[in-house]
Amino acid sequence: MIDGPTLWQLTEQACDGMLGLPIAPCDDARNSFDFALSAQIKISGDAEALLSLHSEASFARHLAATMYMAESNALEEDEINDALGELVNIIAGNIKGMCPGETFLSLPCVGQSLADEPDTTPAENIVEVRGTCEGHGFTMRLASSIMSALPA
Amino acid sequence: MKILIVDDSKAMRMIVTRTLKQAGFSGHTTAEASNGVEALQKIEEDTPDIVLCDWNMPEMNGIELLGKVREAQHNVRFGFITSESSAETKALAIENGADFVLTKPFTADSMQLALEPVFA
Repeated sequence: MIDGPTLWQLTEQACDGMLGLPIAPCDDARNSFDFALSAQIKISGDAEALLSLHSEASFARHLAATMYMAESNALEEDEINDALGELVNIIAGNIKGMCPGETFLSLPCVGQSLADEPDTTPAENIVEVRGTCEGHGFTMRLASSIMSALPA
Repeated sequence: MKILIVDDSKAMRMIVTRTLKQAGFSGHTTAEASNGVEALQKIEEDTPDIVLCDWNMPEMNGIELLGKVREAQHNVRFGFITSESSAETKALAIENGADFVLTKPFTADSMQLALEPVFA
């Protein structure tokens, strides 16, 4: 099963390992972050899962500035969305690689934050990790309906 | 050498370009495409030596592009840079004529290891 430490490790590999953005776990309550954007991507097939990244505006800008090597105030909205979408794409692709059987990855979808929306995902298991990157908050959440199909 | 970087994420195309230099592959000409359709056109027009391609893209994905490239017998080395990290994905890529698969997230070191034989 994909557990919290595994989801955190995948997030850390993408943020710190590839982009040089150190992340730190955060035990604050979810509502302590002022989420502005969400990026989601779906795994379907023999395993079903939805990976969501809820991001403070400053995290999204910081991430995009690093990816684009640009000043954060010089970034366009589509560049910020692109950066968030690519981050969930990388992590979801790695999760897909842990799934047995045939699975498919959707394209990422980025928009206004869904963190405060009622959770209607028909998931058997939900794993969530919260963290900050140089003070900018985010939550990574994996909802899966067939967690038994996801190995450790 | 001429390198074509294919990824629907502009940010990732920039990261790949940057990491190529960090991995020691500087001095090459790079071009970009944001999906398989655009890439196929650039392969036909510009005849790159190496294609570095994402897997999961709109319009035409990476494995479809590889199929069309091999079908048309374009003499180009073709590798995937993808988050799709399963053994099945890698096997499918190699079966279809890919020269290598580099998994995202990558580092300059992992890129160097994957690409060195291709650039040799």
